[in-house]
Order: sequence, then structure tokens, then C-alpha cells
Amino acid sequence: MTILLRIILILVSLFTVFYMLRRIRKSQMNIEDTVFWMVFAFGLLLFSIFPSLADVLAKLLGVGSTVNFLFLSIIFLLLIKQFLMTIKISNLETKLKTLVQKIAIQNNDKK
Amino acid sequence: MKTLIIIPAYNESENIERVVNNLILNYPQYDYAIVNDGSRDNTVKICKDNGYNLIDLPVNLGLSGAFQTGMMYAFEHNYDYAIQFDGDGQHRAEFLEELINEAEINNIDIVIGSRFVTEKKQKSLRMMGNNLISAIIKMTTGKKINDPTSGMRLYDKTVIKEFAQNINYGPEPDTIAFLMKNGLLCKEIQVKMDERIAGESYLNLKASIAYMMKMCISILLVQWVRKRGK
Repeated sequence: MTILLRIILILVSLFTVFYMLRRIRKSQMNIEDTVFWMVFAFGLLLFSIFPSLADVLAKLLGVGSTVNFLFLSIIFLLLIKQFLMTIKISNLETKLKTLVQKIAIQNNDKK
Repeated sequence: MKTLIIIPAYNESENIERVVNNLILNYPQYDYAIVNDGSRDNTVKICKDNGYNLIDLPVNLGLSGAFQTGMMYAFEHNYDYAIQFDGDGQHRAEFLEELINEAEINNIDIVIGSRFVTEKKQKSLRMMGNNLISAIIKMTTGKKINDPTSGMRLYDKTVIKEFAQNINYGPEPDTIAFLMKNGLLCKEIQVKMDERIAGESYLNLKASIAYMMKMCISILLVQWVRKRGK
């Protein structure tokens, strides 16, 4: 990894943590929803400070270059996150629907 | 002093009758409110048949959402103390008085019904989690809480209002640590707890790991930047 890439990675991870904490400070975000991003940022930070760690893992998996290994793992993680978010949105839609239906039936009962 | 016992209930049809009947019969001096968290069994039917004081959430919100509903109720009805009490029979009502006395006499904001003030912790995976949370609370607040994960807690009037009106105020160790760091007084009282008799706990392995991650990040990192809700 080049020094520039490492610096960019470090900055990105620090910015992620900073932004998340700011959201929480303003009471705009649930703490449990930040867990994924904190861990993500921490991993990125780890790899950019100790690039040899990524080298070893890349070699172990037989990926040609370390940067490719980083890209691959980031894409993979984001795919998982995307999938989990789809499930969450599905659940939210169901809950919203149930809520609206129950209120409507309650209002009807009152008449 | 007006005291409300908040009983969050999720699929507690096998336990709720025993727990609430005991409260009504033997401890009529306290008010109670059951918050049904969208149970899929017949918890609601049992409560309605018995004429219990029930707040019935139409969808499942999780423990913190259900408990917050209880706190909103306590705030709106102007209660002095609110006590978090399990609907599964683990908590013993005989210790309620001790919690209230402690809060009243020493003017404590949060009183925890603790399993480990005078008793020793047994060694198990669950207790390791308990110890870890205890250690990071000690690290960040300088104060020792022996049983941070105990679900039996008393909150006084100021805390009731904060819980009722803010997000990120779950009835969990991280909120306690945050409030302690902000100067609220917290004390533990030795209590006995029973094993859950029927039904199952919602903490499986995956949920436990997520729980521990959230607690660590919240206590170690987040609480330094959090603004206190009013």
C-alpha cells in the first residue's frame, strides 16, 4: 500500500467515527446502529496503520495485491450491510402496516 | 411517595399471572403497569381477563421501547419512583421496599437490585460479560457497579423524565454509566433472584454478542460526547 492510500484510509475511518459521534450527540441516531460503522472504521484504521496485516491476509487468500484484498473485503462487508438493511426495512414496513391497520380498526370500534 | 412498577412483558403468558397476582395481593401499596411488547402468545388475553392495568403496544418495540412507554406513563401520572421489574418471575417483590427506602433515605437517583453486593459471582460465560461491563464502567466513571446487567432497578423523578423524553435511554448499563458520569447517584442493594420458571430468555448467543458490542462502544466511546437530555 502506498503512503497516500494509507493516509486516505486513516482519514476516512476517523471521519466516520467523528460523524457518527456527532449524530449521537445531537440525538439523531440510535447507539446500536453505529456499532457496524464503528467496527468498520476500526478495521480500516487497523489495516492502514499496520499494512503488513493486510499483506498476510492477502497472501493467505491468494489475492494478488493487498489493495485488491482491501477492496474485496470492503465490497463484501458493504454487501452484507446492504442485505441486513433490506431485512430491516422489510420489518419496518410490516410494522408500519400493522400499526396503521390496528389504529384504523380501533377507530372503527369506537364508533 | 407514589411508586410505579413497570413490567415489560413479551410472550410471558406462563408467568405474568403469577407475578402480577403476587404484586396485587401482597403489595397493594404500589401501582403497577404491564407493558405488553407485541406478544404473539395470549399475554394480552390473560391481562384483560384478569383486569390488569395493561399498556398494549400494537407492534413489538424491543425492551427499551417497551420500558420507555412505562416511563412515559410514570411521567404523565407524576410518579416519584419507577421500578423496572421482570414479568418472568425472576425478581422478588419482597425487595421492592428496600429499593424504595434506599432511594428515599439517602436521596439516590438510581437504585439497582444487585445480586452481587455481598454475594460472590459464580464463574460462567454470562458472568464474564457482567464482569467486563462492570470493569469498563469502573474505568470510565471511577465507580464500582457489581451487577450492571441486573434488570431490577429503581429510578427517581428526574430520571423518569429523562428516560421518557429522550432517545438512547434504554434501561441498560450504558445509560446508567452515562448518568453516573453526569453526577447522578447510583447505589446497589443486595437482592435475591430466582431462575426463570417458564418461557425462554430473549438473550441467545447472537443477541448477547451484539449486546456486548453495543455496551462496550457505548460506554467506552459514545458517552464522552453525548449531551445529556433534559
